[in-house]
Amino acid sequence: MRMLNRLFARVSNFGFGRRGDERPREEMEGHVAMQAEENVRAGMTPAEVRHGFIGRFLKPLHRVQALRIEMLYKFPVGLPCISRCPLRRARVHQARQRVSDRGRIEGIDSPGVTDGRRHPALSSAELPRCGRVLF
Amino acid sequence: MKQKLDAQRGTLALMVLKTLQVLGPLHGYRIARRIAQISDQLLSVNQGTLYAVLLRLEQAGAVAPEWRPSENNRRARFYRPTRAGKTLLEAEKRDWEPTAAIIARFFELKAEDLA
Repeated sequence: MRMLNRLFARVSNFGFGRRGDERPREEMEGHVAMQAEENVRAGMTPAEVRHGFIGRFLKPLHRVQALRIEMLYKFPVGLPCISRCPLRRARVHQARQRVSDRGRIEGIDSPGVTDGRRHPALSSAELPRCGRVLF
Repeated sequence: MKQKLDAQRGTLALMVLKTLQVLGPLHGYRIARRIAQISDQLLSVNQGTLYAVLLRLEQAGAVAPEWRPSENNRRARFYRPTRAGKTLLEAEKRDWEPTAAIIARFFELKAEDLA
């Protein structure tokens, strides 16, 4: 019976063009958004809520990306001269820029303050987006 | 300050089923909040663990999910205990009670009781 259910789920997902992990993902996004709303109602500022979630979900991701790029730059696979290749250096520079841009946009560096200026707090209309960004 | 404990998976499924049986259909977030409230904030349910348990219960036919708008008009998946879920809860309760009683007896054990 369980196998039949799984088969039915797979066929319907295929038929409707859905991915199997979309449903739990949507459910967890809703969970995070509800938690964010409740935290705001309890007195946290939207920036604090956002920073809390970023600390939990995005910081590890950001660290992994930064490490990958450093590894790519410091330990090039193949001949040492590849690291001096302008094309490769340009790609590494672009990748670094992407990470720092993301850090700047999402306020990873410090709570609410990045590159010397304070970011505006999220409005309540923007809050649900905060949960969605994290997953 | 009270220290939060890790809810074991086996016991978490029981807590979820009992919460649903008593309070009726609830979505994941509300289940987590209710478990924290019932345990006097001693248990903090990890989101990943909770949804894994709900998925297992769903696959076992113990709960029936349904997408509905939540209290703040957000689309949420409400879980309702099925008849199989209620039977499972009763069976687990019958298994759990003697185990809990035995462990309680061990905790109350004193040297003079064995003399």
